[in-house]
Amino acid sequence: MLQAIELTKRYEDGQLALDALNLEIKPGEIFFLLGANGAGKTTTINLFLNFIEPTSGKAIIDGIDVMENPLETKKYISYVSENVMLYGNFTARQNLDFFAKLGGKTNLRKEDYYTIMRKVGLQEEAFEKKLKTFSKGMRQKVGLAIAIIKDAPNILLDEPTSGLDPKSAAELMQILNNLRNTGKSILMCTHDILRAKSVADRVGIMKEGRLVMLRSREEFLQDDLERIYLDYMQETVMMP
Amino acid sequence: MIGLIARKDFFLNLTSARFILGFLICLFIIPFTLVVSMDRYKGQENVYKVLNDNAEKLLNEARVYSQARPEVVRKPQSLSVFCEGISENLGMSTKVYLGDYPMFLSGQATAKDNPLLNAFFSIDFTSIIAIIMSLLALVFSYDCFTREKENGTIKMILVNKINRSSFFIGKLLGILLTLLPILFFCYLLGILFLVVSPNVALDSNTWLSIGLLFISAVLYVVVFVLLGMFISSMSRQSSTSIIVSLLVWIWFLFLMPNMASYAAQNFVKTDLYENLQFAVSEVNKRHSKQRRDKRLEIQKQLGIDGPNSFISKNDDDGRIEFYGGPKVTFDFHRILTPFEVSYLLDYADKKWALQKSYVDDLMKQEKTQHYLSLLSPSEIFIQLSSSLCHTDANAHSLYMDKLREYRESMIQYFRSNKYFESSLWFTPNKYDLLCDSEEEYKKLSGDWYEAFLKGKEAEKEFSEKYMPKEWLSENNAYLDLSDFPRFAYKPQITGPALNYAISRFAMLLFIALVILMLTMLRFSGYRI
Ligand SMILES: Nc1ncnc2c1ncn2[C@@H]1O[C@H](COP(=O)(O)OP(=O)(O)OP(=O)(O)O)[C@@H](O)[C@H]1O
Ligand SMILES: [Mg+2]
Repeated sequence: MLQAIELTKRYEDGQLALDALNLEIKPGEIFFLLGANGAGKTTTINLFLNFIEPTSGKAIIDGIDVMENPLETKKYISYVSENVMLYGNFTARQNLDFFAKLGGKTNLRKEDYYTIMRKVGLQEEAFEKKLKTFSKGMRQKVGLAIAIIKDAPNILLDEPTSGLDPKSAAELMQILNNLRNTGKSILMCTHDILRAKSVADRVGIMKEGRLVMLRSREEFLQDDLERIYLDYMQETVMMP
Repeated sequence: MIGLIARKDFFLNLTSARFILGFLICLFIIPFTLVVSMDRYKGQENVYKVLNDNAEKLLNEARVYSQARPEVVRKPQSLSVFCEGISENLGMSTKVYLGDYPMFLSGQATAKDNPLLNAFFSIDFTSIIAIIMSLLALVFSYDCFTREKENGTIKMILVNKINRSSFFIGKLLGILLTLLPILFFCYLLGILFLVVSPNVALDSNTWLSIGLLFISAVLYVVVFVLLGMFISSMSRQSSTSIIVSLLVWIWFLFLMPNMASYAAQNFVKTDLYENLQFAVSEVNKRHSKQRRDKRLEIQKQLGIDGPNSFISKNDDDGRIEFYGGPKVTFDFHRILTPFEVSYLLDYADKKWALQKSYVDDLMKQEKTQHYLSLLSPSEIFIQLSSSLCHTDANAHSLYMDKLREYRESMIQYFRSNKYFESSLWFTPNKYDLLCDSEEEYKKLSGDWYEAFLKGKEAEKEFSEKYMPKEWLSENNAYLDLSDFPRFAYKPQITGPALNYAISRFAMLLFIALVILMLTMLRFSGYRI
């Protein structure tokens, strides 16, 4: 479970990136956080990961305060970053192996890695190839495999579909769906409204650090999500 | 966790181009420098053998004690293969005189102002290690945080239950794991060169030195790895940190040491060697005068106008050696010798007072350079290495101290055996072999001269007939000098040398710890 209580971040340069965010993502829920560039999505994720410290408020993972006990919370989260680069001189499997071990999965076999990589849709012949020969989407898939293999109850994804071809993106949604069904809390930041519509349990729209809209699946399926999103964006443009 | 990170970095480093490049560079340069150093050492060893045999032969050919002046040849240090230090600036041999304290080894270039200054970068094994390993250390560490940040992998790592200090230590170990085998390989090669060379005996103290040499190199590498990591922790991008690293490298390796020796030479002035020479020659003049006066006094006392002899050999260091002549010459030298010797020793002390202050000045200058260079880790490392190899200024000055002690023991030898009072000091001839009066001798030598003018045959016939055979020097036996003190000093890593080494170790360790703390501090707030 992921909780944000009055979570606020003001960067050293005075930029208010996140303004009193209140949010709760339950086990078995996929939450899509939408928002324009610079809205504060990555900031939110970074706060959960303790990569940056909140100015005020709390981020809580499975009941543990991130600020108070950051190391403990790391057991319960996995993360897919915006731009997965990984280690170019390692093969896909070696990358997976390294991060799996870091995540505490020490007794996995080659086959287990292959299974995961198949699951994220990486082509078989790339398994033992060096990462530096990979395309962006292929790297993204390895990153996803790394997040999945850790098998943490909370998953944070920062624009994971960027760089994925439509088929892979659809497969990703399928994977997330399955993960949700095993009881994981999933926070996904994206610009991809289409995908949000297909799998999200709830959708939030963020603007200038504030969560300006929150809709459950039933609600946003009734309205036209694209229209709502553009409406909110419109206001930004129109604001003097 | 730490091991996991270290292993990851180790494998990544192994497959990186910089590792292969670094290893190749070491593979080519290190054996080359070792071959050159070994060659030079062997050359020195050969010269040593020749000089030493000669010196021994010369000493054993003395027929009178005033001729017994040992020449001490410095044995080249086998460890100089690792670090030359100032050994190239200095000569090898010293003749030990009564009338002079040993000050420098002869054969040194006096054109250089201060031979103790290691002002010119000599390209030996240690300097190469200092240059290459520091560069490699920086090359492997300059991007250790920035690269992980640029690749986003630092985030993916820190998402796991691993804190920043473990990550940091893991990275440090990963780099060391990559570099230390290269370093070990280099030293192993050096040791191998020593072990297979026939005339190098490696005793336990030499092994201790070699061990300490390697440990100091490890510490040195650690310092530069940490330095690179610190620079990385200060930078946002690899492109900035590499520039900064290179500047730091040039500063520590080249600018700093040169500035130190420049500053030392300019701020601590030493007297010109020529001034010392002049002052010493003034003392020598006074010495000669006193000696001449004494001789005249004794001549007057004995009523002669000079000590006549059939053969005589003299030098400025009190060598008086005569064969044949009137008894009065024997008396003359018997009276003169104690004065002659006491003047020699006296004036040696007087000159030494001047020379010591000059040498002290040189040492002061060297110390200044030494302390100024402590600001650079590479200089600490080189100093430490040359101290462990006995090729630094301290080892040299210790050696000269031992030589001066040796001179004392030589004087003591003459004294306790009463050779200054013995006629063996100036002639092996017995008193009764000499002519009773000046006139008798003058007649004999006049006749001999006539025979000599007639030719070799006549001269030979004459001397065989009328002169004792001992009047010819070659008919006298050599002295038995088996109990003459020999110079036996072997530099060891004990006492002050060990303390010195330990203090330099402590310095490197201290620097490493300070940078470690700073880097950890920086990295704990490093934005990923
Ligand atoms: N390290 C930083 N220092 C100062 N300001 C920052 C920093 N990181 C982000 N910001 C600012 O905070 C705001 C939110 O940034 P954030 O990266 O969270 O946006 P985002 O929603 O992830 O955008 P995108 O869709 O482009 O990824 C932006 O205005 C950005 O300029
Ligand atoms: Mg973002």
